[in-house]
Amino acid sequence: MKKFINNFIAIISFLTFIFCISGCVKDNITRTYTYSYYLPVYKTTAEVRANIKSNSPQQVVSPGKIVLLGNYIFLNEVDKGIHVIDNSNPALPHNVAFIDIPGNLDLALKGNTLYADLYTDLVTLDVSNPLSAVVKKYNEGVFPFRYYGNGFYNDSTKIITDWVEKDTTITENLNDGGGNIFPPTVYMDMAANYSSSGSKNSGSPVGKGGSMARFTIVDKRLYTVSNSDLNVFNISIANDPVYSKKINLGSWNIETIFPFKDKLFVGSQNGMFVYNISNADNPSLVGQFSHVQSCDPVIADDDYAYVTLRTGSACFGNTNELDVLQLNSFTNPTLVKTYPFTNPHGLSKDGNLLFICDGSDGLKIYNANHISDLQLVKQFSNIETYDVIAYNHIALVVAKDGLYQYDYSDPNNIHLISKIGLSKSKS
Amino acid sequence: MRKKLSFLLLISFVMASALSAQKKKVRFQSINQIAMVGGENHVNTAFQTINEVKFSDWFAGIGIGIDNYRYKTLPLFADARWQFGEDKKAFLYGDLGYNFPLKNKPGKEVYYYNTYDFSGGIYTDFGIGFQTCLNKYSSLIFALGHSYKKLQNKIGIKTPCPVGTCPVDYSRYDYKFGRMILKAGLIF
Repeated sequence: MKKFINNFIAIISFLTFIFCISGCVKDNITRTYTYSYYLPVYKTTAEVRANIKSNSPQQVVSPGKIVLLGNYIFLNEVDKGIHVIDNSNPALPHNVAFIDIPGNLDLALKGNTLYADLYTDLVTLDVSNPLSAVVKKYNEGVFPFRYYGNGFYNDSTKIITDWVEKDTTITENLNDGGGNIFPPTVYMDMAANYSSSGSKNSGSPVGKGGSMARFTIVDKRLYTVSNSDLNVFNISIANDPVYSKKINLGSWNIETIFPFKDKLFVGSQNGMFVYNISNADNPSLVGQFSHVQSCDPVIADDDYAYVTLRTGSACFGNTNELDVLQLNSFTNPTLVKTYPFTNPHGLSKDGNLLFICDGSDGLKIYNANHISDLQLVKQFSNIETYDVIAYNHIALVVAKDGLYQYDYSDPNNIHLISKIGLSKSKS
Repeated sequence: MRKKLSFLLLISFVMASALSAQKKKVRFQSINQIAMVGGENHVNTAFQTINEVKFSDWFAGIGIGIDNYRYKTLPLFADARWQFGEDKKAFLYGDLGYNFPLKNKPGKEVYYYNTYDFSGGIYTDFGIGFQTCLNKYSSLIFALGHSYKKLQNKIGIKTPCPVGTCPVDYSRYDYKFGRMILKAGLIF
């Protein structure tokens, strides 16, 4: 009897123990995050337009697209406007003016005319005297894809000229809602960004843009790409661009546009598209090359297209490489060779020298005489590079910490000749 | 980290001192167990090896294992147990220690544009069990208990941006997992 009682007590104790600990079986997951969100600072359209002119030079804080024309560099300050830099002496560039264009990401230049986006509008400026730029025309609403995230839309009666940053720390309990949840997207400009090169241009010289460009000029047309469309502007009258056509590219995530002769090379996150612009107002798709999803700047020469694929940011994918495509037939570009890179961004080619911005691995310069055997000529490490324009023996490089210029007149002695640093106010 | 290891060593030292203070014969044993770890919505496996000294009805030692529950960790802990019952086949046990994250790639991009950086946290395990002799040198052991592990993960998510270095938003995830643990193993 005593043994029975002892066993009974033991079983009851054991079940009580299980009952107690089962109450403590719980996955408790909390997430603490600090995020910045931005409140828009508005100005009326009249106020903004009154200020679109050459104002006092400003420090470069967040450099974007770049266009080179004559002795001047036009450098986009993301969402703020355009720096005008006198580069008549590349060893001593001077920041001489700043054109306030809120929402500006892209630009293109032909002769004395500058085309730039102002959120959803295209603004045309006469920059015959870059120190006294004059607005000639606004094409309103031609870039409707410029929107804001998180349900936040621009007030159509006003223009956002700045953002005020606010920090907020939040702790939330996720109790097994599963894995890792992304923090809320800050209110920010969601338009992708990213203007130009050796295409058939007549008349006024066209500004040379980088491979990350989304605006480019070929002859008397300005071509721009949005996330999914190719827009055509007739600029036969330079100061009076006329929006003539929108072509759906049949693909999302369009990133860059690069002109070469009578072709446009459009880079998207899923492939490269070749458009024939023999009929300038009606670009037609003649070929494409598909690749894994990644960011995809592209340039081309007579025989080859050079496509850099990278991961990171909004590009997804896990590919970091340079694809060289043969263009014997534009209708069917074929892969010749793939070269591994660290995180390749913009690229440029002048003669046999191929310049590649390899992210944190710096600027890499290759001898591309033999396409299947690129030879590294020089690497500039310790800078984080994004885009490059190689022209007239000067390589203009946009980097994390400033604008660099390298002299490559002697390929055996490529060297830094100047740098415009960024304002320290940039985080 | 140094503080945590010092804490473990201190516990071990105190237990060993307590045992040696009784000036009785001490003998060693090794407990090697596999376990099913059942939490609120997940079930995973775990492995442990505990090496300890035995004195009278008490055991004390150091254990190490692999805990696959949700995020793989390596618990390092001090173990103490007390035998009771007629044949000393039943026992109560308690573990206290620190679990080290095994999956950790700080600063590295994973998936699309995330980075993660795990750090460990406290590990506890207590429960009841019994053992039965297989032969002169080994015994089978079974135990049921409650195990708790805590760890932290700092995740960085790059915000897409036009150019330049994109801003990274960081989130800290605190994981506190209370689980039932059912163990079986061998004592040598």
